[in-house]
Amino acid sequence: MRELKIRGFLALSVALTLLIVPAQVASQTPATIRMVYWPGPESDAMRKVVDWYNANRSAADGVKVEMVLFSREGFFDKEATVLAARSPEVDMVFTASYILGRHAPHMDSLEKVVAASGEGSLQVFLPSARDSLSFQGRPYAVPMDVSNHFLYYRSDYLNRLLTDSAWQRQYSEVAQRELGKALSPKKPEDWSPDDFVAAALFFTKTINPDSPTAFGTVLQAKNLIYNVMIWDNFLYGLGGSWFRSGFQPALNTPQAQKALDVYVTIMQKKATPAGSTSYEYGEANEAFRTGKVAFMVQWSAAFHELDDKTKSPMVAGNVKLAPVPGKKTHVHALGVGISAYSNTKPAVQKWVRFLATTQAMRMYADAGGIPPVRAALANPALAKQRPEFPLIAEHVEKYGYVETTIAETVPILEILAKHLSAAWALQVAPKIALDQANGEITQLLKEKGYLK
Amino acid sequence: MTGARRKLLTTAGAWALAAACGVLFSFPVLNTVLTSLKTVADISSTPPKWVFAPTLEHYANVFYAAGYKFSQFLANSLLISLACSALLVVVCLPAAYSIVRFGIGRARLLPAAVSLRLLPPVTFAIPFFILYSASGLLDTRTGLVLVNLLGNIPLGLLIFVSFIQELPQELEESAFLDGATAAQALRHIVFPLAYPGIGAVAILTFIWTWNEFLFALMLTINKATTVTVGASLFVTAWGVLWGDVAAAISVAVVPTLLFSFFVQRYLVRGITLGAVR
Amino acid sequence: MVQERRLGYAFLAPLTLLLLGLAVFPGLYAYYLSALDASLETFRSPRFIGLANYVRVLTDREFYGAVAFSVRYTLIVVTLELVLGLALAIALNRELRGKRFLVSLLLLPLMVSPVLLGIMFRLTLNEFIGTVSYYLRAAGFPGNLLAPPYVPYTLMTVDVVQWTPFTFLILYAGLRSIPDEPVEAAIVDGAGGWQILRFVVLPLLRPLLLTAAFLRGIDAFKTFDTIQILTAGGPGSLTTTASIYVYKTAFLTGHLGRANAAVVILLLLLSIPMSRAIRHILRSTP
Repeated sequence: MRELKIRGFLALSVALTLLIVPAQVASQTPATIRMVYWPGPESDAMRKVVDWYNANRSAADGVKVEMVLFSREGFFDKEATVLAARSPEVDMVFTASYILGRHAPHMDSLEKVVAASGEGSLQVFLPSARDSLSFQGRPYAVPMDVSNHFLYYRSDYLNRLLTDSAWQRQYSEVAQRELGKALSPKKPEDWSPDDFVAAALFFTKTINPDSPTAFGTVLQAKNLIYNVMIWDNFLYGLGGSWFRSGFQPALNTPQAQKALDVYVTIMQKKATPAGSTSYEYGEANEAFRTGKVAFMVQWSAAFHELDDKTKSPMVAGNVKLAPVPGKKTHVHALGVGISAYSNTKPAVQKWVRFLATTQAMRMYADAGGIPPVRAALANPALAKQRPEFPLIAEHVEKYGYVETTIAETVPILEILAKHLSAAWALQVAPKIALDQANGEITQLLKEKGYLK
Repeated sequence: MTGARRKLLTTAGAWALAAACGVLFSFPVLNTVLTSLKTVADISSTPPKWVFAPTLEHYANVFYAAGYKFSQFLANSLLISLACSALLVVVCLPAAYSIVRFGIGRARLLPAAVSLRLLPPVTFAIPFFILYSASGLLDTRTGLVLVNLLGNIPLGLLIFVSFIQELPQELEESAFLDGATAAQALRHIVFPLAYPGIGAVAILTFIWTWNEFLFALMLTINKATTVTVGASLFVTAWGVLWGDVAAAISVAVVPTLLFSFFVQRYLVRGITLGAVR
Repeated sequence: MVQERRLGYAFLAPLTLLLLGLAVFPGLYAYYLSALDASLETFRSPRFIGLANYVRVLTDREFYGAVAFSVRYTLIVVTLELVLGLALAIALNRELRGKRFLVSLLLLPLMVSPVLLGIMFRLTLNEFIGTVSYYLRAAGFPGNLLAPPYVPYTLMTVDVVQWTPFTFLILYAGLRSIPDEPVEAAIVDGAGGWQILRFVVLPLLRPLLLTAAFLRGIDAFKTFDTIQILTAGGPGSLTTTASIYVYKTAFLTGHLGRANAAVVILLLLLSIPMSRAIRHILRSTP
């Protein structure tokens, strides 16, 4: 009995020591900061950077980074909830140019956090990407990935169009018959929106029985804000814009009408698959991948997948990139910034300064990210695996525009998505859709004090 | 037509209807299972392939290659759903009994509880997040059990009320005369008689909780993540990883399938009413 | 009996505690927010604006459009689900070979989360690589089921496939607990199958039929996940349900106050069928 008591006592003391020792160790371990990301190639790339940092720099900086993934479905809704509740659960916010205006009131500006110039400063990044993550003139996030649009085309078909005289005659005939315009084939690099429409009709089997593809192009016409960003290229390419001077909406202009006609004509002539009204990024890729279309305007991220022999055996090798017809591309950046409600700000700031280095961004690019950093994107070793990277840097600088970063960006996109998708689906006349969208945006901006 | 032939015909008809619906209803799930076994190229091949060289790469992604703690998601979902299913019966059955037999809470409490079902959950994420942050329930399994309990109270109450009021009151009355308490009557008479209702409620609550997405998304960070939210991690900004999502769904269906298969045995009466009347 | 009544209060205690602890704050919060100009950016420093949010919602054409779509959607799918669910419950309420297997097969669509099922339907209904589209087209039907004019009916079909098992299970459980004698007595009286169903079985099943109809009706009215994933309420506002309207107002346009005003209005609207349903589910005893 006595022996048992002693044993029990011993066991208890061992257990207690075990409980105390880790507690002591814990007090010396680095501060853990929590950074939100969304799942996909971006988080795969970031995980490698985080792992490297935790293995090599944690001890020196006294910072350990924990990356948590929020599901892509409802991602920004969840982040909005966390921020609206002023929760310290999240130290680093994942944001994007189009939603920064909504996040910025809940974030710390990076002005004093990063260095003024050189490594550890935002000078490392392409200016347009940096600006796209600034709100009211102050930077709020480190740009991690840049997104823009390209015209993706099948070089086998488009090259033949430039050499085959029978095709060329047929092309002009189709343009004359269907559009009433005298057009002849051009290099995709030189296309105007008119050429885009004419080529879409030429490569549509119901219009031109000799077409090698069923449809000329594939439009992403689902009621989604991301699809508005693609359409915006035609608006800006035709000389239009969201706003006139100040914040006077300009969606009822001739340019907007013409940009909408590009989509409406293609829809009416059935030069895009009938189901396009429910299409987004993935569906468009499937149409291209299965050889159903000759070209499309698509996000830069798709090239990697479409030019891959195992993932897209039917088209890989024949996928080429050109500027979006009209030579304008929407640009937005994804980035990370500091939550105003974080409890570990000194630690978060150290991590931010690390991210703003060429070293970190090269690592990120090597792991599959698309950082808006010239030294990373134009790296010749990397360009072999990702030939689109130098083009991304070039197009973002030459053709890129950012609609706006005001807090009302998402509401405006939502109004446009609702009305434009109705017009794209041929449910509402284009003029009415644009007038309604313009009216609603005007009302919104009046309520928020942008307009009198 | 003789009685026997007629019976045979109706039985055949019944079987045909059930089998036709079974095939139609199970198609989305079976197709998902097939998708989970195809390579990326096979998934997007036309015409659809029914015979193909199966691959387990998507299952490997789900369980370890993608870097998610999928088995922990499964364990979370299992614990949360089991607890919610059991607690719902414990909370709602006595309450329904009181409402039916004593008329307490008929006028106010029942409508108030049932009206929980009317609320669209989207806007409630924020107050719940605030409530849970303040009370330490954020990102805990207990928190998810409670919120799912709330969502299923209307179902449990209404089904139990419907069942209990169809039970003959004489049995309990004679038990009371013999000196039994209401708790004993509930335990020994009502409970076994309400087996089919309990079975249905348990299955539906388990399934609902297992599938619940919005609150599971909003009220977790990374510790209490459920399998439904975990499966949605294979939806990326750059398209859906069809094979991986399909594999995650296929794995996630198994526990619900087993649960409903075994609980089905309670979908028969505990004791034959005719025998005691 | 007094003592029994006292125990009756104890039986209600856990339920009451749960409601008080968890539901009161979020519930009242909805009313509170609905009177503020709260947006996602200014959530914690809102202004009181009285009934302005209600006026705004009630003068919004799209609100009525969303409610109208939800009502139409609900009436169609719930009717189909009740009829089909009841037919299946009756069909399976007998000795059948392989019944437990059949029941499990019938319950399968319930077992996949609506969110995930919606995602998989994006694949199955895809114009080019979708299995369903392929065979529909091969049979001479249109292959683009997610485009107008088919899209509302496609969404309803998906709902019926997913939720008929729900009504089936409730009604099946109800049939299993119906005592034998009334049915046997009717047979002795020479009643046929339809007469037994109409005059014996359905009256006994009425509370559960109403329960199933009510729960399904409310849930169908609130449909969100599947439609949000498949069409995001579009094209235009063609398939916008009441819940999608509330969601977009709250999280895309960012007007939490206005969204909560819409929720309160919907709550008042839905409480009418709710109180009627409860009144009919409860028999007039005790």
